Amino acid sequence: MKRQRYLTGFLASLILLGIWILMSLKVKGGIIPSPLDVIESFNLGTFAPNFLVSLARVVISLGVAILTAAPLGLFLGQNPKWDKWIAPMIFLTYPIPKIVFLPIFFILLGIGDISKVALIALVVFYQILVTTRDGSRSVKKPFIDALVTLGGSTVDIYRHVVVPACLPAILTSLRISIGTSVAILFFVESFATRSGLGNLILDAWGMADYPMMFVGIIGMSVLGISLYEVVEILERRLCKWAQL
Amino acid sequence: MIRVQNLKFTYPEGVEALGDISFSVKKGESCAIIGPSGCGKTTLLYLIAGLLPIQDGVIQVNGTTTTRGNIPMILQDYGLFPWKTVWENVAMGLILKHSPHAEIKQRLEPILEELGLTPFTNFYPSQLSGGQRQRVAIARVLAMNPSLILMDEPFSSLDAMTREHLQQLLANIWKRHNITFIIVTHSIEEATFLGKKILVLTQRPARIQAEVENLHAGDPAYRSSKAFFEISSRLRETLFATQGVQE
Ligand SMILES: Nc1ncnc2c1ncn2[C@@H]1O[C@H](COP(=O)(O)OP(=O)(O)OP(=O)(O)O)[C@@H](O)[C@H]1O
Ligand SMILES: [Mg+2]
Repeated sequence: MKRQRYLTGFLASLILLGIWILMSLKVKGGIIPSPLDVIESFNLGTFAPNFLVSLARVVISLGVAILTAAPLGLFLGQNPKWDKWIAPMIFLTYPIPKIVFLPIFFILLGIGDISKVALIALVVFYQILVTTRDGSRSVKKPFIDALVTLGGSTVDIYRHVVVPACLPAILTSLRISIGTSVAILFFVESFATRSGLGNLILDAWGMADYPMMFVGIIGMSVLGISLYEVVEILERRLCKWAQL
Repeated sequence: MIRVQNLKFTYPEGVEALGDISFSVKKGESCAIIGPSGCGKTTLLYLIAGLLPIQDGVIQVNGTTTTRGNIPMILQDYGLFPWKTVWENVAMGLILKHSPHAEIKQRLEPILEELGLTPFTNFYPSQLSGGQRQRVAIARVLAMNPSLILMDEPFSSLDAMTREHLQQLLANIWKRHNITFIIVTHSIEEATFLGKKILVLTQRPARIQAEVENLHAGDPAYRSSKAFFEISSRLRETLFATQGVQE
C-alpha cells in the first residue's frame, strides 16, 4: 500500500519533469528555463534566507489563526446562544476578499512583517473558524451525555469530547489553509519588502532572470508541500482513530 | 435504594413525555422497563441520571436526591468515544476523578479480564464487534464501582446469540457485585430474563401499566422453563393492550 504510494508518486514526478522539459524546449524566449538552468542558478546563500523568512511568515500566520479561530469555533459550535449573534457577522464578512484590506493593514500596522502576517492570518482565520464551528456543532449530544454521567465537567467536555471529535476537521481546515496562505504570501511579499520568496520571484522577473524566478517558484512549492506533510504527520499521530 | 414518586416530565417544546410515574427498586434488585417505542423510557433514565432537570415529582437514590455525574449509564447509541482506546474508554470515569494511574490500572485489570477484553485494550471501538463494544460499555460503568447502573437498550443492535450471551454475563455481574440495575429494553424476552421486577409502561405520556414480580430472573436455566414463557406471554398481552390496535 505504502510502497505503491511511493511508486506512483515517483512516476508522477517523472511525468511532471518530462512536461517541464518539453515546455522549456517549446516555449520561446527562455521564459521557461530547463531544469538544468534552474539548478545552475540555485544558490543556497540567497535562497535559504528568503525561504526561511517566507516560512516564518506563513507558520506564524497559521499559528495565530489556528490558536484564535479553533477555540472560538469550538465554543460557538457548543453555544448556539452566542453563535446566533456571531454567525450573521461571519456570513456577511466571509465573501469579502480580505486581501483588499492590505493598504489599511499597512497604514495601521506599518509596512513591516506584522501587517503581512496579520493579513495572511485573517484570511485563513475564516476558513478555520467556519470549519471548526460546523464540526463542533455536529458533535453528537449522547457523547456529551455519556461524559457527564461519568462525572465530566464543562472543561472535561471540551477536553475529552469536543476537541478530539473536531480535531480531524481542524486539521483538514489547516491543510486547506496552507494552500491559501502560500498564495496570499506571494501577494504580500510583492509589496514593501526586500526579503522572501515572493520578492525573489518578482526581482528575478524584473531582471528577466527566469531560472532564478523558477528557483523562487519551486521554493514556494517546497514550502507548501513540507507544511502539508507536517499536517499529514500530525493527523496520523493525533487522529489515528479516524483513519481506521 | 431508588424511589421514584409522581414523576412527570414535559419537554420545553411541549412534548409530554412522562405522565405520572411511581415505583421503587430495592438494593441489589434488577428492574427491567419495557414499553412502546417513544413512550418516554429514555427520558425516565435521563431524569434518574440527572441529565434532565426534575420538573415535578421526586427521585431519591439511597435516600437523597440525585445529582448528575454520580450514576453511570449505558446510553442507547454513541456510548463509547471513538477517539479513545478501549483502555481509555473504560478508564474515563476514573480519569475524570483524577485517580492516580496505579489505582486505575489496579481497578481496570480485573474488570477487563472478567469481560474478556484484555486482548483489546489498545483497540479503538471501530475495531471491535458490536458485542465487544457493549462489553466495553459495561466495563466502563463497572470501573466506577457503582451501586446503581442505568442501561438504555444496551443490546438492541446485537444478534440473538451475542445478546443472550451478554444477558447472561450481565446477570452474573449483577449477582456477584450486588449492583442495582435498571435496564430499558424493547425485548420481552430480555425483560423477562433480566428483570426481577418488570415495569410495563403505557403509550406517551408514560404511566405504569403493570408491575410484574419475576423471581427467577437471571438464572441460567430460567430461559427454558415454563414460568419464563408464562411471564413472557403475560408481558406480551399487557404490552399489546397498551398499544391498542395501533401496530
Ligand atoms: N430533547 C427532546 N426534545 C423534545 N422532545 C423530545 C426530546 N427527546 C425526546 N423527545 C420526545 O419525547 C418522547 C419520549 O422520548 P424517549 O426518547 O424518552 O422515548 P423512548 O421510550 O426512549 O423511545 P425509544 O423506544 O424509541 O427509545 C418522544 O415522543 C420524543 O419525540
Ligand atoms: Mg429510548
